[in-house]
Amino acid sequence: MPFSGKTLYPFYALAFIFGWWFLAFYGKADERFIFSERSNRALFSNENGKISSIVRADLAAALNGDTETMIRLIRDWQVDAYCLQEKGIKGVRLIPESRFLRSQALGRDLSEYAPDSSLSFLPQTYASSSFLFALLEPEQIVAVPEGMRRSPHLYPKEKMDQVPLNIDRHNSEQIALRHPDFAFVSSYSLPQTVNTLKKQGIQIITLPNPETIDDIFSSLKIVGDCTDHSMKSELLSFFMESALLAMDNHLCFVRDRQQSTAPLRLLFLYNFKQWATPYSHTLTGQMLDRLGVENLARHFESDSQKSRWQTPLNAEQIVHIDPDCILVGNSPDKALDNFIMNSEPFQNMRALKARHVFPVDADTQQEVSQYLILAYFDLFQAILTAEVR
Amino acid sequence: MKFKPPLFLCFLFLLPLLSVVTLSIGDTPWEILWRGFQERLAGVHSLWNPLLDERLPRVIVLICTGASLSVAGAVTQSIFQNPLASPSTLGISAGSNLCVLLGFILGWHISTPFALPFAAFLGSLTTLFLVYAFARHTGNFSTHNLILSGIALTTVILAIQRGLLYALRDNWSLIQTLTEWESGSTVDLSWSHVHMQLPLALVGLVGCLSYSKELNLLALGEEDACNLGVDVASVQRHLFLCIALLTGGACSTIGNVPFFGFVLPHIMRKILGPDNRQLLSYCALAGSVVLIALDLLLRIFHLHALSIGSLSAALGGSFFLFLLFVSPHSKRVLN
Repeated sequence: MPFSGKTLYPFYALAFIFGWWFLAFYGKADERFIFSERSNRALFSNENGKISSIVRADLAAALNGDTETMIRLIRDWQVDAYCLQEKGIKGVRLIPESRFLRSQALGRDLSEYAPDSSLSFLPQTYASSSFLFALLEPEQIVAVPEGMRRSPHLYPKEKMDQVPLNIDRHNSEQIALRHPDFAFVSSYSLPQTVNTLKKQGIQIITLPNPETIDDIFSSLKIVGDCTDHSMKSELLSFFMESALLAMDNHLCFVRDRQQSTAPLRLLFLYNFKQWATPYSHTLTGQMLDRLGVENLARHFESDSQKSRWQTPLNAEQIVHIDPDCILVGNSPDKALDNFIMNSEPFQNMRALKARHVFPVDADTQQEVSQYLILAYFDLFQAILTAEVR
Repeated sequence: MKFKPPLFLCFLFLLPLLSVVTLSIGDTPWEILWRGFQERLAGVHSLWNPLLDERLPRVIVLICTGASLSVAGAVTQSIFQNPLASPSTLGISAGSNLCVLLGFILGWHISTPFALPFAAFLGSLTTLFLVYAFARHTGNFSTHNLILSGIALTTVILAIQRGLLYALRDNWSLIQTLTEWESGSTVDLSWSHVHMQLPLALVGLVGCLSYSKELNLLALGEEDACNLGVDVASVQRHLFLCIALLTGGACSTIGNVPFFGFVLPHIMRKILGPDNRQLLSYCALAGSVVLIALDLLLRIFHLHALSIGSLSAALGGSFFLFLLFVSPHSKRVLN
């Protein structure tokens, strides 16, 4: 056969390919970039015994609806703020006295108030589900979006387990059989779904699509009013406001002690298959502005793309801008590995040399509910570690 | 054999020119790049340099992908003697995509970098053999059967793919990863990508080029080719392997880039004629040049909303419609 000389071509070919891959990749998987440790000692230095620490677990408990924790933390942080103001720390802010007193009174009133627990609710969105978990007993919630059950690090698993159904088009009849009184939908909910719910006699409440931190407070108020839990929603609002101020005050304290002048140059990155940074108009961008850092995402923004959520970046752009601190947002199970795969270009950057590279849970950063406070805390914690020298 | 020296020279001129332009476009000032380059050459350090570690690998991957997809398309059209045959119409790309998708879902790409090209290669090869087997199974092998088998299998594969995406729709970070990969992205290519794809492209291209004479004989029909000394079954198997390597390598590195395996070989065949000894090398050159040019377009005009896959599909599809309905040769396009 004239062409029989090529019979062994596939074997040579495969041997060549696997040999190449072996030489190129063998042992490379063991290269690990270690993210910077966030130092709790540096974060919440309590040298004069006058500043209480901010603990993520406490925040989560309060945001899940624990009234006692809310009241205690609001009180502690208010005292901290008074102490810091007395020490002459610039920029420290307090909750106005009337509002502080109102929050404490609410705590007392709530213990005696018995809301109407016969109502049941169907939250179509993650945000409304989160609010309902904080305000009501889980038995009053008919179904939740299925994805919430896959994020037990964020949503209260023990409460979710008590909700029998997932929101799914295959469950629509089962959901209808449970006769929810109200359904919380969003402006982006499918019109067909909303129409079906209306036809089932369910009262529809449309929540605005939150674009600012204030929008989240507005949505919370609507949910509280509709569920006969307006007092608890008001307390939760006070708590959220108080938590934001407490973190801002901690930063003021640290910056005052450090005599910081120039703001930290920070770049927030998402890494899926490629790098991207959220625009400054997003909630993450707004939180970074509030935290007083220089958000380098602005260098990549153009007016024509303001309607978009994030802009893709390549490694060269990131290296060129050379931030002081990098936050990498990704899913908790993938953050390290995804970053490792692409970290080679960054080895000579300022942030890596100073070990100011911090993973941030991306699921939390997407929150448009009360859990925004946890997103703020994650950013705050990383920034504080980077700023404490 | 039609030899077109001006066309050949044109490609030979454009390829290095566009490569140099690609290498020179970026955010880092040229002085910094050049200093880093010189220091790297002098062995002063091995720090990451955008020119050497980002732009150069990108050019290599673009050349490999452009050449791979257009040669895979040309060989597919030749083997099956049908201008409608291409890795996408026969389901080869879909099979490759499905396996890469599984790789992403199961996280193989994190632990083993070459898992994706290997999965893509296996997906391409399996689909190709399945399509071939289904087309033969009827006992009346024809290109129509082949194309129909390809379309049917593609439909099944797409159904599985969509089912997986639907089941995982709440995992937004995974969905975003898959969307970026599926749309064909040339961002953040590194030497890892070169190592993933280059061996597949080299073996596939060398294999296809070495069988160009047999491909010409196969164009006479399997029986005539056999009478002329071609071991038809063996040649087809080897070429299937090469097509799978080329498609799988491209798919795992850049993602979906439609048009190359379909329209580009078709245009080149119209210009050069059916002689595969010449056609395949022209296709390789043309594919590389066009893909680098598309990537340059996206970068120069900062078209972030578009990916190289969507741009090439839009341009290729439009051009194909032009050939079909507007061009004076429209009636002969599919002949």
